[in-house]
Amino acid sequence: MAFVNIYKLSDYIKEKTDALLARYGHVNALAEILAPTIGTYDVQSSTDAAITVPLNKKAGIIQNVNMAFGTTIKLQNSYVNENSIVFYHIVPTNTTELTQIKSDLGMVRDISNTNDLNFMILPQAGQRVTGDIHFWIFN
Amino acid sequence: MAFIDIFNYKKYFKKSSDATVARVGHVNKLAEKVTPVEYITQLTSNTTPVEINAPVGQITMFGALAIGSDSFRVDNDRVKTDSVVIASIEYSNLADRLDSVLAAPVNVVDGSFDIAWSTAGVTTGALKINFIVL
Repeated sequence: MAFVNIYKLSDYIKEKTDALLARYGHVNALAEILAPTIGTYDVQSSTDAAITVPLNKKAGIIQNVNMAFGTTIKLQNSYVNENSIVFYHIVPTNTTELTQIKSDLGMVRDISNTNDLNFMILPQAGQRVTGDIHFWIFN
Repeated sequence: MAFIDIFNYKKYFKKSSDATVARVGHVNKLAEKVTPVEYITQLTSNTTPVEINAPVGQITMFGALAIGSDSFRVDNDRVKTDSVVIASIEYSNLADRLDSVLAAPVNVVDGSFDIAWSTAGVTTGALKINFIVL
């Protein structure tokens, strides 16, 4: 039978456990990148030319957009910074819409505020676009 | 005085720790799929190849686009023939919605893909291409 200083053993276990927990902190950070909490904001088919969407999530859906050329949807999001890599696309309302859409969705930074993005319509044929905007912010 | 069988305890603790380390090893491999993020600015012209060896990145193109269409190569050692490359375009100015600018990844092969672009008008500034390789 070996003797052991139970207090030193306790310190040893604590040190190892803390190291593991620190590693799991990285795991949580990774999970936040790959599986972020998704937020939604419904603009309720508004046809306003300038719509502001406050939505502080790394990934999200701006629901029920109804955009024409000239419309801007400003996403206010504290995760956005000047180095953010942003992925986005529009999911049309239905398959019929797909045959009607001849315009595309674009995105530009707001030069006055690094937390803001503007979504806009690029006019190939000036068609109105309805659906949901999906976005994912990668920092 | 508390009694403890130190030999068995150490064995148990080592086994438990090894299992955890193995799991963290998997996580490290997972992390390599999406990190690090890298940035690069295209030099010389809007058709000059760029090299950015990362799964996620941002390419700032050389400058404003003239009317027309062309492409440039992105050398990236993370890209395989069967990779999925997703790209989103960041425009430099709201005025660029007038220009009908389009860009998309094409020609995905081992070690590279191309970004093809076209525009019906002169853009206000350089595009930024955000991409992820899966």
